[in-house]
Amino acid sequence: MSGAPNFDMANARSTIADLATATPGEHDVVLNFGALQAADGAVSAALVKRISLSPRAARRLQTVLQQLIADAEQGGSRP
Amino acid sequence: MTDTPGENLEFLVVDGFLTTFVDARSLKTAFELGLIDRLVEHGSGSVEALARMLGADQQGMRLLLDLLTANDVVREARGDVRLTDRFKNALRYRDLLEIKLDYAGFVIGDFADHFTTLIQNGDTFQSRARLFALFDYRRALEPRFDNYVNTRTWMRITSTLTRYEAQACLDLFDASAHRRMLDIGGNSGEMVLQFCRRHPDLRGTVFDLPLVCDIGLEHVLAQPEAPRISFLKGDLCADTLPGGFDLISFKSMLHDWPTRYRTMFIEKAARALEPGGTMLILERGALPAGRPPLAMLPNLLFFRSYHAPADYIAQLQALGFEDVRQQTLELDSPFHLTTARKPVR
Repeated sequence: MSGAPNFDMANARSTIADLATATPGEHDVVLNFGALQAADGAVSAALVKRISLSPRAARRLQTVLQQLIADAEQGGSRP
Repeated sequence: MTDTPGENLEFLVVDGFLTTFVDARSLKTAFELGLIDRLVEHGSGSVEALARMLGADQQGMRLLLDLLTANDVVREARGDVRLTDRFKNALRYRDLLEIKLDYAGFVIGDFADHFTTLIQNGDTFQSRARLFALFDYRRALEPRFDNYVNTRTWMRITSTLTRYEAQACLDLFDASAHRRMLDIGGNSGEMVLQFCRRHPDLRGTVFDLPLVCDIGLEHVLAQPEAPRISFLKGDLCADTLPGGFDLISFKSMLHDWPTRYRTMFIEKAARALEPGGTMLILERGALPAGRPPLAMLPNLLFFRSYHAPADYIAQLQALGFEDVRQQTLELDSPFHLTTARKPVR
C-alpha cells in the first residue's frame, strides 16, 4: 500500500492557468485563476476559475508553495 | 475654460488624518497592532482590554490612544474607546488611507536626509533618493523576480491613487460616446478599469512596459470588466502606437518626462487617434504655496515634475485639435484635465 490518498476524481477538471491572484475575503482567501487571450498584439485576461479557500487551507497552501519554490531555487527537488 | 467640481470627492477625507508625522505614525501603529480592526469588529473596548489583546503595556496603549484622540481617530467615554464617526467615514477609503500612510512613510527619509540636495539640484537628489530608486522604470523591462517585486510595489501606490483620481475625472469628462480607449502609460489598467466600469460599452487597452502589463493583467483579472481590457507591451520612445482608438489618454504619465519626450508622445498619440476622437490628459498641477500636510510629502519631492497645462494646450492647438478644454479638479492638490478633439478630415 503506497499511502497515497484515494481521490474521487469524478468531478475533477484539469485546466491550465497563466495567471493566479489572491484576494482577501471577509472569512476566506479567494484565488483567481486566469488564462491569457491574445488579439491584435494585445493580451487580455479571462477568469477561468475562482476558488474560495478557508484560512486554514490557505495557510497550508502557502506552506506548500514556499517549500516548492525554495526547493526549486535550490536545485529542483520536489517536496 | 476652467471648472471646479465639488461632488464625489469624499475620499479626500483621508487626508485630514495624515496632517503631521506624529498623526500618521500613530495611525500606522494602530493599524499594525490591529487596534483599528479590533474596534471595527467589536465596536469598543477598554484601555486595559485593548492593551492586553494587542500586546502593548498599558502605558504604551495610553500614549497611543492619546495621540489617536488628538487626531480624532478615537474618542473615549468613561474608559470605553471607540472610533470616531469621522474616522469610520474615512475607513470607507481604507485602501487609499493605508497607501498614503505607506507612501509618505517611504519617502520621509528622503525628505529628512536629502531635502537640501533637492533644493540645490534635482538630478543629484534623484540619484540619492529611495523614491526614484523605487520608480525606476528600467526595472519594468526584464522579467526577473526582483524587478517584478519592485514594479509591483510602486504599481500598488499608483493604482490606488488612480482608483480615486480616475473617478473624479469621470465626473468631469463624459466618455459615453467613446467605444475604444487607449491609455498610454496606463499602469495596472486601473484608469481603464474605472472608465469601463462607468461606461459598459467602452473597451480599453493599456500601453505600457512589459512587467507593468504582466502585473496589470493580474490586477484586472478578478474584475467583471476584465474581458473588455487588454494590455499592449511596448516602449513609447521607440514604438508606433496602433490605430483604431477614439479616446487616447495620458494619466499622470507625461510629467515623468522632459519636454521633448512629452511633445513626441503627444504627437504619436495624435497620429494614432481616430479622426473625431478625443485626447485626454490628466496631470497633477503645480503644488499650491503654503505648508503641505504629511500626505503631500511624496508630491512635494516630485515638485519639479508638475506643470501648468499651457504647453499641452498649445501643442494640441498646433496639431489642429478642436474644442481644446482645460478643467481643474481640486483633489489633494489641483489636477488639470485637458481634452481636445481631433478634427474629422
